[in-house]
Amino acid sequence: MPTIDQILNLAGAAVPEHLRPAGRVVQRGGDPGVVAIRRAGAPGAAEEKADPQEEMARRLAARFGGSLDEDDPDAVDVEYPEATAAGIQSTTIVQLRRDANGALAVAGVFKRA
Amino acid sequence: MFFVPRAGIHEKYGSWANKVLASIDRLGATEDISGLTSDQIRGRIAAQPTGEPACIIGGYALVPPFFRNNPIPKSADPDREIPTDAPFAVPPGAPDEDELAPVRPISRIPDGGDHSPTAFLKVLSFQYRVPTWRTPSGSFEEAAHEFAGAAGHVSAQLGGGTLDLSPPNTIDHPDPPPLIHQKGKIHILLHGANRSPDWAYLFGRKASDPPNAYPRALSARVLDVCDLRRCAVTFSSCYAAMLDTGESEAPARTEANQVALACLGHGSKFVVASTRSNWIDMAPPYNRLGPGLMGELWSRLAAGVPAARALAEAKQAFLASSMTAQPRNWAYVFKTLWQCQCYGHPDAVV
Repeated sequence: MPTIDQILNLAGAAVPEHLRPAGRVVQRGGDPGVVAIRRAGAPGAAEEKADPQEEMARRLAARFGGSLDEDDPDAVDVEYPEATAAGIQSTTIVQLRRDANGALAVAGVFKRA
Repeated sequence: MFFVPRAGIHEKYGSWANKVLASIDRLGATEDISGLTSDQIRGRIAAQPTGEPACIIGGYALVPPFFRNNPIPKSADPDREIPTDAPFAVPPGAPDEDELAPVRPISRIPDGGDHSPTAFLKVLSFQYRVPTWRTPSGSFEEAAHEFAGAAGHVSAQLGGGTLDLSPPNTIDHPDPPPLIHQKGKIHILLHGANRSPDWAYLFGRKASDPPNAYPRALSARVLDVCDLRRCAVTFSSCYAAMLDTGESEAPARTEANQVALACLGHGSKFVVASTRSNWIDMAPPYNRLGPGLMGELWSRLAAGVPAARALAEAKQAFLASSMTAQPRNWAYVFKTLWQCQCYGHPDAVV
């Protein structure tokens, strides 16, 4: 299980330096010692009740042969909120997943335009 | 079929209403949706022959959109509701997931939020000509510098040429209008805003620049002086299709402060853009979320598929590939699909 610092160091390399202090880890919940808020890429832990939209996603995933169930317990999303600039609010999300070699690596980076 | 709120047009445009309606009737077969609820309008659209495009006439004051809750957590995405026309294309009672990528092509020809009949008449006069218009040659593509990778992915599908980046480009240099005039294929991936007055502008950004460094790169006013007749326009920017005023106290969205309306008001055949913030892929291969959908769209537009159908097919392909490759990103996929709209003539071709 990677530590918070390991996660932030890995994800931080994928974003500009000025964003790194603001990084916050979002991880599949329940692990002790982790700032766990919600499952990676899913609604908040407080919203664990049945969600119609999540049910839609499950049906669609099944339709296309996939699943929403996380098979990578170390999968994390790291959010980097960016200081607003007069009407622009931009967040970068770095997704970390286990690669084919089992190493946690950057699997995706998205930013609000 | 064009779906027209005739009573609402009479109420909004008063003595000009008959002239506006005459211009609408020139577009083609119409059906009056006066007094109907959104679900009733869905029913009327569903009664049309399978696969026939549907086009809604009017902005949100005349025909309100549907709203869907943003499934992305607020900490990452402050947009809470997503205005979307997609449910209009799906029969009432159909599975909810069908509205993410409806089979039926759908578009909207919006009027401005003010009460200017002349502005809407101008749009309608352009739209009447769209089916016979040839698209000019050339392209204009501009992106925030930090989005160069994603913009390059779209550019490859668009078959474009030079990709301009901001910075170094700004709204003042080089002067944008000569670069944009009569360029047949236009794609913009600059930052957008959802509040007045910044919503009238599009912004550049270089990742290595200091925080808050977002130079103005384009604006509704700049587009207002460009000849966009016969041009095809898409935006991967945030809020480029936003017709509501959100949380701003500004009274209305018009050509003066809304980029999609500015494009339509200056003759663009159609505009495809998002009503809320778009998520941009920042890592290779840059083909997910916003740019992924736009790449699917342009590959079809470039092949001559009509605009609304191209968007419908692009959404279907995007949904299939996204839910196959990364189903756990479903919240971002759903938002990308719901918020992407086609404004303009549904049968427009590039």
